[in-house]
Amino acid sequence: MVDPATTPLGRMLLDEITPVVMVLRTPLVEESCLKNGLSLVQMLTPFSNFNNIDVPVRTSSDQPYRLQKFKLRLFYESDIRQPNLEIAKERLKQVITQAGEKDISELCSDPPQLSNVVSGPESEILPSWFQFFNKELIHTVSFSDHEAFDHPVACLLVVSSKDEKPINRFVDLFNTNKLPSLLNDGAMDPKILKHYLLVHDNQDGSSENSKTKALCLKVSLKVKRSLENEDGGSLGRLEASKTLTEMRSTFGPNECHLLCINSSQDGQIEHQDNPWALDKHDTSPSQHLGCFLNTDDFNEIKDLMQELSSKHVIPYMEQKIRVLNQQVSATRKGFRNQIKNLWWRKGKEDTLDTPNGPMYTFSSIESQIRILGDYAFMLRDYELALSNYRLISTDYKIDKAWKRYAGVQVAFVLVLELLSILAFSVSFVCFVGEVWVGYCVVELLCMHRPSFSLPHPLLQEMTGLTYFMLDQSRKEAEYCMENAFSTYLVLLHLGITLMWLASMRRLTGANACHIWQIALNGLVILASPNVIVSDMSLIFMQKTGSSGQQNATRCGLWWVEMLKARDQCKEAATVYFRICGEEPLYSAVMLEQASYCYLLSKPPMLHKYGFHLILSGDRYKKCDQIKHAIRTYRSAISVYRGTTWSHIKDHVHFHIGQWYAFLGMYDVAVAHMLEVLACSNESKTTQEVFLRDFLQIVQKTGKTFEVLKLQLPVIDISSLKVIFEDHRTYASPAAASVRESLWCSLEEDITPSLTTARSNWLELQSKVIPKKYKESNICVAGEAVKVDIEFKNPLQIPISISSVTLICELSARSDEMKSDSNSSTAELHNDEELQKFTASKDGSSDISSFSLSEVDISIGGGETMMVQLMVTPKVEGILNIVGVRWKLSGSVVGLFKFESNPVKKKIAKGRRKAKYSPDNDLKFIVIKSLPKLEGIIHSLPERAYTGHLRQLVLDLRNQSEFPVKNLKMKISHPRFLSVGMQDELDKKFPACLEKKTNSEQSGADGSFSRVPQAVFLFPEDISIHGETPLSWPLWLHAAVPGNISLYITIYYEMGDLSSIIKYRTLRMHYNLQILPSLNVSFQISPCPSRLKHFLVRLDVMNQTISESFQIHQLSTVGHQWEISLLQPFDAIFPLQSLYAGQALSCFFMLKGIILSALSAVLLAIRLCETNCRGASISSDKISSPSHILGNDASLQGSFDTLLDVSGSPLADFHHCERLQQGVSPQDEANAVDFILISRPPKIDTVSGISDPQYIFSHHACHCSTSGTGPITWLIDGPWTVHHNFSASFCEINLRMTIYNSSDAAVSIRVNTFDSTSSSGQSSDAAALESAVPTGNQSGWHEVPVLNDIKAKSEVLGTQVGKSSLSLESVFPFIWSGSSATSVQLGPMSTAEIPMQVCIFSPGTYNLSNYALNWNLLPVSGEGKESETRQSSGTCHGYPYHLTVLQSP
Amino acid sequence: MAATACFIIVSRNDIPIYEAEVGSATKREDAAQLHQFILHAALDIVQDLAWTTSAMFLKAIDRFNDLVVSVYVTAGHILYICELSSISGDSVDDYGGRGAGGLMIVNSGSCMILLNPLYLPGSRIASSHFDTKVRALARKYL
Repeated sequence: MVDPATTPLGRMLLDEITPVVMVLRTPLVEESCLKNGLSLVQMLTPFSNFNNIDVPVRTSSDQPYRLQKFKLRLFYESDIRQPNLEIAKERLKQVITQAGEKDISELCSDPPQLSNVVSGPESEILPSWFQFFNKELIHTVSFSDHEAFDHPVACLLVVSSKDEKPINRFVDLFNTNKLPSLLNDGAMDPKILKHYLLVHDNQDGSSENSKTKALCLKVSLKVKRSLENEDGGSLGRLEASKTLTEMRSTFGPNECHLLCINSSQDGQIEHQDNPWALDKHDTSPSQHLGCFLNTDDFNEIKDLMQELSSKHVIPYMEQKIRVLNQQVSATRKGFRNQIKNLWWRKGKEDTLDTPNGPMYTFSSIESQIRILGDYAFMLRDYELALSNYRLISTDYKIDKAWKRYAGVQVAFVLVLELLSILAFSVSFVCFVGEVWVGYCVVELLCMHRPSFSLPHPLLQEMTGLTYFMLDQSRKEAEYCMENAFSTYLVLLHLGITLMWLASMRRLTGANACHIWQIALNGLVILASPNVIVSDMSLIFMQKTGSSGQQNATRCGLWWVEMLKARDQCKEAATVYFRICGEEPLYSAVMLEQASYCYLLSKPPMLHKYGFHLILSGDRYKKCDQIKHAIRTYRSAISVYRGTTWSHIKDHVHFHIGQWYAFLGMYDVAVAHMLEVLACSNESKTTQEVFLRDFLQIVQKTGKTFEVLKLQLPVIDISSLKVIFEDHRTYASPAAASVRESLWCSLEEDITPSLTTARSNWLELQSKVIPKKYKESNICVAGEAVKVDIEFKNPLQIPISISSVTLICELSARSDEMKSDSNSSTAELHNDEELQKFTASKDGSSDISSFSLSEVDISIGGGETMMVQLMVTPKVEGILNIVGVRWKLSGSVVGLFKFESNPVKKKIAKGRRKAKYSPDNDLKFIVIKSLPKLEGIIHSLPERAYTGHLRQLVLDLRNQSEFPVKNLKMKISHPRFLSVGMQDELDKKFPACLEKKTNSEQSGADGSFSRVPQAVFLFPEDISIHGETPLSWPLWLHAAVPGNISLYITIYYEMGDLSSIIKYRTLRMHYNLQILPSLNVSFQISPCPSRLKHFLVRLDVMNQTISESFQIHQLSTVGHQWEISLLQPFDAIFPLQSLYAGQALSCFFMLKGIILSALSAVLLAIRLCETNCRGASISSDKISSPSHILGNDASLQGSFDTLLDVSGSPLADFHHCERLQQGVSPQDEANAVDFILISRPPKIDTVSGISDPQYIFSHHACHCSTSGTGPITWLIDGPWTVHHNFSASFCEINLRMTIYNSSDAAVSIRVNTFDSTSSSGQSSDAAALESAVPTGNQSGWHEVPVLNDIKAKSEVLGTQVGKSSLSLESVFPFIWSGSSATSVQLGPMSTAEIPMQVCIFSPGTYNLSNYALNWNLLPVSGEGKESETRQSSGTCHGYPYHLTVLQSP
Repeated sequence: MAATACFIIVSRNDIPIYEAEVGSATKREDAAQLHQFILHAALDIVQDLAWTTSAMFLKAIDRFNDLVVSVYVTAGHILYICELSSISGDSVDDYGGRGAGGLMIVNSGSCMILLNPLYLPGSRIASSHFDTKVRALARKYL
């Protein structure tokens, strides 16, 4: 258990609740004292505090105890009154302001760390001026008339020996007019202990011979002292002693004293530990306090005070306590008295009817109990005090009971009566409230606020304190304090209401009943706390309200100290919070103290701490205590540091920034304002305010700030992308953004192996390039390094950013060499770099070594903007890209260092070269300038329709003087883009595609050796330099719909061998969107009447939305086929163009040319203008598998020449298509490739627009002809026969030619049926159906076989039906010869089988009732493959109509 | 009837992951800050109280002037803090029952978000669907 006396509260109480001595003095006394720079009270005060007085005290009990510590409080009579509130307020304000000025230096420092604050000792956390402030605050409510311990216990009358007629002066001093109101109005007993003091100033008297005087004085003093000790001597200095004697005879021998001061003549006495120094801080050091007081004077004063307290004050108080105690015991204690008291109190009602004057004078028993309690408290007899406080408490309870009995209404009206007379002083409310108003109104209040139970606040307060000093009943003490506190507040509210009511009554003059009504209403309103803020009550507050508030405050402060002493900091903080009233300055201090309580509570409640600091700071700001406000907010920052509660953070930083700016500390202000800049979650107006204030502050500073990590705009470091060119150069930014691996795979076979290449030049340069940069990136002097970075505006308002540049440093190579050779100078070198960095920040110093691009942008609210920045090194060395800088709104420079952010290391350059350590990503070795190719492809459309075929021109330039050589080019998609011949450039499109005459063709034969190849090698004699660009034709073919990315890489070598980089590559990237145009499909069915003839149906559909096409020609590829139109094209399709959405079908005859027979002949069928069937044959040697010859059918009744499908580039593209669409060598023989060529519709010559420079080509490969198996056959024989049936039946010989088109041997069996029963037919049909291969190939539409068969069978059926009808059941003809013939047929061979049929009557016969069963003979070693193919099948016969006529 | 209320979800380590101002009262300029301050300060009380009771809904644990703070604490110590103003004396009790119900529904909604494997613990709940749901619940229960 803590000793209460050691706690702050205990010390405070022992200090404050002590007997008061009223000092009355004459002006001459004061004059004498002031020679020492002290007033009389000031002079005496240090000697009235006794630490070890050791006086025996006996109060009510018989057992005496010894008092060790004691103190007298001395006040002039003029000070014994309630202090003027305004003055007190002003003084408190000064205290606070002074405290604020003191720690101005701290404001500039960084806010404290939270951990330090929490762990630090209490004394460090709490500002020291709080205690002083609290003391001052408590003093503002001293000398109220309802509490006795401020009432003077004794009176010290002081007269100077110079005064005329000292005795009369003594009498005059105790003149009632001058005495404080407490004594005059009867609140306390005017008969108090009086003590008379005669002050003699030793410097006075005859000034002419001061030395002898002093000598005399010394003698006389000794004598006088001895006389005093002898108690009644007559020697001494004449006047003083004479007066003393006179006094003694007048006032009594023990009550009079003589005090001699100013014994020192020269005033040079220095005191070792000046007792006044503590009290008077503000005196100038030149004047020594008490300079005229020598040691004797000291002792004299000391003795005087000792005697006064031990022999006069304490015995007097003892006496008084005993007397009062006896009285109280006699009247109030014991059972009899209690009963009596009840009755007596009841009877007292009559006396109350006189409303004049206060209810309790000093003589009333209640007052006496109160005095008794207070005196006991002061003499440390706490038991006695407590019992008395309890006793008077009981009175109130009894009073309450009586009130209930008497009824509320009467009392209330009475109160109002009293009020109108006694002019609304709160002291009245407090005092009168003890019995009268207190209980009845509080009871009324209790109806609304059940929590209030008990009454007199002060008493509760004292009871609580007494409990505390006794260190017992903790709960009881708290309860009392709580009650006292809230009752004070209630009384405050009550005062307001009563004031209001009274004024209402004055205005209206209403009767009591009416007032009662109003009072009730008022109280109802009072129940809600918001009522306080009304005009009336504000006026009231100004007059008297704050006094009630002060009482509550004092009570609260004591309560707080009590709680603190018990480590109940949390509760203490709540009390502090409740203390703070309307006055913002006080509440600010209280809230700050509350916050420290939260901090000191265990565990610390940091959230509350922060919140109360902010509340306090806010109030400080309201009273213009900006420094205090900043101090509190600074402390709060430590709480909110790192929090994600954005509004809180913004609020704190914004306000503290504003206040710093107000104080003119702009640097700190800007630092705080920076924190709120990126306030994306605030409203638009708030953002505007923040930004505006920030810019204003920055402007006020008058300089440009450089802020590292400026929040506005936000830089997305993950978006950082560095594009540089070493041996890899890019034709466009798009090319640079392509994945490196893609380029690598593309360049794999054209560049020398990367590793070997690097090791080569590194070995060369190993002496030049320091080790640590070996893995560095390389860039070339004069070529820009580009950095893409994203700026994001987090605000809703647009911001403007100017002068966005990179921060770079470029150190010459020589520096690096030094640092590498001598590692010890590395740090020094770093310093140099740093200097260089700062220099480069200035912008112009390093301008010669590299140049930077500058960008100005304006980012709208919430937008993100990608900015490309460039740095172009001009000399060799090490280039380091450090960061980026920009200027916000023309005033603040933001810097952002790339290195500082670790996120970058993961993303930024990993994709470019994974093996590089990320630290070096932004570090480049600049090598001397190299030739660099720039390339562009002209007239490459971004969008094309499928089949689009056009010529492009690749333009290559080399700006440098040095030539480049050994150019190679590789294209990622040869299907879409192929390389042309240089001479094609000169030819006009589409003339270069047109078929040439034989002579030309043979001349162009050489070009056939150029097949599409992976790498295109430019002729070796080409070297590009200077101003002569190289143009080279390319061909574009939009093969399939979709989005195509074309990658082209061009490899070249330096002409100058001495350079570090031996070769470079130019990378080009284009995107091409290809839309579907014509849907082309072919359907091939064998021609029944001819061997190796096929019918081809071409279906073309225009799938575009608006385009129209002219179908130009259809070509077959290869020498095996010739194609012709079945009908004139005009007849099928009179329109010239195929419009959007239109479809077209037309038929062609496709004739296979058997290799063995026509090996040297190639056919070309060509339609002439009359659309007659014609053929032209072109011949050529087959030089390579890809060598394509063509056979074309023009679909245009046009004047155009046909295009040469066998020439470049059509043949090249076709080859690619073949590869793309899949090759199965087995089907090679039976497959046919088509190329459909169309062109955009001709534009009228009138319009003057030249022909479009492109055509469309659609390639369909591997359209299979072998629909019915590997064999084809043809029955050959006479069509019409004349025979005389009367002689014999007719025998007709037929020949069946079978061709095996497969590459395997086939065994074939020919079966003939003599009956065409329906069942047999159907089963055959089924067999036929199953025999059809079901392979699906692109561009090949499944032929619905069944339909054909049905059609056939219908024809067949009618035929057969007719004959069967006419010939009844007799079949009109039979196959003669063998019914089944088997034959073995080698691959690609033909066999002839003789057949014979016997006909019995004339007519037309369909000789289709036969079937061919074929069976593939397995080839040894090919077993596997044969499984995948159909190994056997049945083919039914074609209709062969034979007409037999009766010969005449 | 509550004139205005601020609702906030606080994940561990005092990180606010969702904020909403609900209610009909006209907004003051500094309302957002004030609400945050009050709710932030209430965390101290919650931390003390949450471990001393088995109840999940802690009614009116803290107050500042006429603003009352109630909390729904989940087992995972995610706090659903609701701050109401202008409650007349007796309707706090009424509100208690309804508020707990409302917050429980909100909890079930936010669980779906918090359990989403793509949700990063401690990041803001940006779902507009959740937002409308909370506001609808606020209208219903406040």
